[in-house]
Amino acid sequence: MSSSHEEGPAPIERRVQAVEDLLVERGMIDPGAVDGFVKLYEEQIGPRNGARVVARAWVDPAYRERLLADATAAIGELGYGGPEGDYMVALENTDDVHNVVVCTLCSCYPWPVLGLPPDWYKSPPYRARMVREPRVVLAEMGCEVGEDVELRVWDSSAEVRYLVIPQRPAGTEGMGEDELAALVSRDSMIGVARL
Amino acid sequence: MSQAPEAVFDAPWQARAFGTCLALLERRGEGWDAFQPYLVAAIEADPGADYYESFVVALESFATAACDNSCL
Repeated sequence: MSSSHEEGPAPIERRVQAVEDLLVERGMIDPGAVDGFVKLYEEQIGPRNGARVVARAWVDPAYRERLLADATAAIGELGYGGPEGDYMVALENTDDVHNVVVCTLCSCYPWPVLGLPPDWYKSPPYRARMVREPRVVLAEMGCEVGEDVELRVWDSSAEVRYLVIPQRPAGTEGMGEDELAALVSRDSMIGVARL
Repeated sequence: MSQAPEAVFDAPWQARAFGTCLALLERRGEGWDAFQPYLVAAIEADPGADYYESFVVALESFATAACDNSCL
């Protein structure tokens, strides 16, 4: 049985190992499964998936429509999704509107699409200040949003996870989808950067 | 072509905790939603805590509950 709760403050490495060992011992997870998921997230799943979604939306108006109407399904079309990315909503940045995402409990970051959340995203000050004074926080992060642009801050909930579709940069008209995807940063899909 | 990958975990134990959680969800045929209430509760109980420390607290509760159920 797990007794990690009663043993007092064991080092966190040992606590994690104890949980994994217990589950393997009970046959509740496969011994190699943990490594598999770690490798998957470290090497494959990351902001690249989200970048491909954005690039497709830029080049394919019909896909963009589907993405805005039902992001979960449209993202699934590209083969992304899975247990942690269930319900997605896409938010489109325009000349008039800039969207930025925070998560009050940071339990609802869209991992399959954006990879793991950056450290600052998980920090309580970021979440609190972005809600209170978004324009100031964005400027501090190097993302200037003009006073004439409406700023919408979205607090993702347990039910909804957001993906910001940044504006396509000028001068990229001749670029293909792969080239475009390489331009799309994780931060632009959270809404704390423009491209 | 693509950008250099970002470091996604700050320490190996974070990666283990994360991987263990997904492995357990997969085996149980459950989605992220099954784990999320545990994570929300852990963060709410100590809002200033490091994110992954809360994650481990949640994982401990989740794994304990899963073990209890599997023994019935």
